[in-house]
Amino acid sequence: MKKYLLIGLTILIGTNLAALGGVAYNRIGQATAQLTLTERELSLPYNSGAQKENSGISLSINWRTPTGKNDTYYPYNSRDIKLTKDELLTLGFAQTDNKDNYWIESRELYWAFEFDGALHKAEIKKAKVKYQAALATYEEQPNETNSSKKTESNESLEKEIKSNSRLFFIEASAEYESLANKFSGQQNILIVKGLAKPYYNNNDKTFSLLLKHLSVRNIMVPLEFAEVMSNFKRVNRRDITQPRYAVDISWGSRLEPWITNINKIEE
Amino acid sequence: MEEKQFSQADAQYRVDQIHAFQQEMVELENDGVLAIPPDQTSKVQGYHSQLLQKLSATYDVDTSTQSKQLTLGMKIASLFGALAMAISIFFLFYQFWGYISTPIQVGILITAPISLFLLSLHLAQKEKSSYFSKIAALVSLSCFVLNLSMLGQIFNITPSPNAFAVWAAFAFLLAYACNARLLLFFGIVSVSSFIAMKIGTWSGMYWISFGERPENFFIPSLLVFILPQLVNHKRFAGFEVTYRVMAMIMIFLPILILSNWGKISYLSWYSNTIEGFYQLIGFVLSASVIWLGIKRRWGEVTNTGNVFFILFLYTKFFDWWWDWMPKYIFFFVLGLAALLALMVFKRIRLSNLSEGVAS
Repeated sequence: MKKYLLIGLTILIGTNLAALGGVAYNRIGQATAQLTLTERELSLPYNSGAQKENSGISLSINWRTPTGKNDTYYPYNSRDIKLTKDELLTLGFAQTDNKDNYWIESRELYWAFEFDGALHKAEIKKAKVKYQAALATYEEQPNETNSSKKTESNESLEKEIKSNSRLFFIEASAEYESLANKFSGQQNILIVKGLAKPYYNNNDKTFSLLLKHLSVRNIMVPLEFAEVMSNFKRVNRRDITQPRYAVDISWGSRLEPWITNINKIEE
Repeated sequence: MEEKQFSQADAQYRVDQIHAFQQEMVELENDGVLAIPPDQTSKVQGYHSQLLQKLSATYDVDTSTQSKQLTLGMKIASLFGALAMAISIFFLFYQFWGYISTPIQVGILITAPISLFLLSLHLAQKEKSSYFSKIAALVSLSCFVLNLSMLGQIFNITPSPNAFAVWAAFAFLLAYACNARLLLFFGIVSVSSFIAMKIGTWSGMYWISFGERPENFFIPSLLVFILPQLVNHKRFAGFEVTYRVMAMIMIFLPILILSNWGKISYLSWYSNTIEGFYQLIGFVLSASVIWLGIKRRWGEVTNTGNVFFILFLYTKFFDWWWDWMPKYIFFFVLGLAALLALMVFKRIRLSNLSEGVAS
């Protein structure tokens, strides 16, 4: 039994030391990114089903892809990005245009995001253009269809200004360094790991990359900051509200985040 | 007999042997084949009753049919008890962790599996039947799983397949310390998943997608099948059977999936070719393990081989005939195939029986 005791304690204590050592390693040294995100980018958890019994608070990260350069404003978040075959091969994916063998696995890649920058401004601009076009059409032909289109585009614009996430996906890479060098010196850039899966469309012979999810999707709120969040409930997706909290987050050397402060945003 | 010389299974085998001997003696006496003098009969009976008492006291074996039935009930109760307690601990932590500071959360997560591990070892030494030590061991394992997954959530750690390696190591350790097959099952599942994840990662996929390529399970299943040949499991009842059955499930299920869905194979052939290849492999391999099971007297290997051979056969029948054959003929053909299999097994059984009588 002594043998079992020693091996067992080594496994239990050693594993915990390794896990906590990894956490310390991530947080020691200079952070790779420091951002102050708000409720727009960090959603509260759902409070239904088994989740009701969970007393901990984890904030989920909301990110988006920008509307295509020459496309009109699209209010829904598409997670499909168009790429060329060479770009997919550079990302480390195998040949995907084999008709009979389209089953390609997901890969973990480095994703670069821009927070509250040019991409968000461009999105607001496109939403405005869309609203103005809908307004002009309605003024020319004031019928029910055009009226609802005008209302919808007005809501989209308002959401874009007040409540939509400002964290935009820029590009993916198989190497961290290439993204870090490309965006060095920019304070509003975040590089994290995420899962992506390529697709080949046999009809139009195009390639795309489905951005599945981030490797760390949620950020735990420690007890010392939980008080600020205690009375808040998750906002309905259709509601247009100003964010109620701002969260200071750092990302360490292993690209894992942690909360350093949370403040209430006074209305 | 004061110290444990052999396993509980061996002791139970001896008890069953004594009962069989006693019953056979009565039959022989009734048929007038044998008449043992009363003094010798009482000597044997005295020896047996003393031996049964000692075995019962040392190994907690069942000395009657009623106690055997009760033991089965106790095993089922301890299995459900252990699983329910493991789930309860998870929800208990979930319910209150939001009110606890991070250092205390970490402290609880680390000390819970350690204290339950110590308790399970203590109970395994004290108990004869080890029901409670097995429950404590399973709850300890689930606390360790909770430990790592919750540390991951608290500190927003990137998920890693290495967790499966340490869970497997701890599950194996507890299985051998407490002689618990359920923990061995968890150990085999965890270590096989870990190896499959690593193979998947080497081939370029994200580790959690390891199930997308069923071939990832071939190497772990082979290792799990070979392991009981290399390590002596005499003291651990049912461990060899668990290893072999799990290994066969892990090799036959992927083959069955690939024989119907060739697109998810690593092989870069046409789907139909891949499916045909794995169908052939499935038939040959299941027939081979039936033969191996009969040869090595591994009943569980023969039975698992039988089940998968029939599954391969029936899925093929379904592929060929389901769409165009009237359903009554389809099921009639299935019935005929079962009868044919029955006849084959009967012939094998008869030849085995005659070999047994001759020897």
